[in-house]
Amino acid sequence: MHIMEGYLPPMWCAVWWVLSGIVIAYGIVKLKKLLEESPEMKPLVAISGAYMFILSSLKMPSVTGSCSHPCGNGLGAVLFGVPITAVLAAIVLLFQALFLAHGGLTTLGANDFSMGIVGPAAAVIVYRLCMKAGLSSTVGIFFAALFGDWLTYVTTAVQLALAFPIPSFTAAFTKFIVIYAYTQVPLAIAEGILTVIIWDYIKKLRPDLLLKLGVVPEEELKPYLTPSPAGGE
Amino acid sequence: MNWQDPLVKKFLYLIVAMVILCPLGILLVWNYGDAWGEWGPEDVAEKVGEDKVSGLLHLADIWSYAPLPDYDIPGWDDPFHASIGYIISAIVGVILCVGAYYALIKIVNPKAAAG
Repeated sequence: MHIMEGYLPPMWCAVWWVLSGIVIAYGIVKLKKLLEESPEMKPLVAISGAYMFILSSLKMPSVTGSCSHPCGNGLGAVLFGVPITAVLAAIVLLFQALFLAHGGLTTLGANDFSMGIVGPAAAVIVYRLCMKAGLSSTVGIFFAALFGDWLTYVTTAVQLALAFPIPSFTAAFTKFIVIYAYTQVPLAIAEGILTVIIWDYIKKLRPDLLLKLGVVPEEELKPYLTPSPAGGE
Repeated sequence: MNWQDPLVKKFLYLIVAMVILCPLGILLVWNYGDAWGEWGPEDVAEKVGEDKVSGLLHLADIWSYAPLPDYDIPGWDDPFHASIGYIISAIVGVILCVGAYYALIKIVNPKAAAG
């Protein structure tokens, strides 16, 4: 999914850099505000970013004899929103480009737009829809991670097709998306399951953070928030 | 980072497990070629003609100083060494990323970083 160095024409590099740059700048402002109000969120910010790094580095086989990797952007998106996730993704992508030659500096804007903006936006929307539908946050985070991953790849397919609309944008997009669909569906499901495991850890170990972020209703967190009876177990 | 935070502890265990398991990914895809969407400009050149992407091929060399290119140590080309290279890359990457997040936190909010 990380578009490689030199793959995009300079004009498209500039377009995606500008679009991502605006969101990243806003994300830094939002991060500053979040940490001023809730300094205890520090570990959660680092965890979300590290999770994104390790997942987006895992090259996994798929059913089609090709390979791909998860994105890990759904967790941060649901917890902190799109702008902060764009910042976390930008740092991940920068290190991958500089140290691991995975992705690139010229394509960092495009990669951040897909992995740090559109994917997370999809995750947030899906999560909120699940919560509105009265589903548990665990179900919500599964679908958020799933759609966050899928939409990241759909966006990459759009970016590739815009850069090389041969013979036409629609034909190029269809070609990219068909390969992607088979490859990414099983991986996105696996990512959803892994994100659920982490989410449940957060719910059990630090429900106070989820409550403060306002991402899980208090009723759902009640069993975890109840202080243990005096004298311990 | 508060290492006593139960969430941090649990997450560290998970990260360690993922770091140890990550070579499975490359071993299982050893002969699969590039991941989806990660084709280089030379792949485009094959399809649309080198004349159309000569500028892109030049851009591809804009940064060629990656110490661990493709999550590997240069020259470690067999599956065993590549697996070790992948683990080293994962450890270095996680440390750098977490360090960068804390540096960013310190820059945007020195009070939070102290806490």
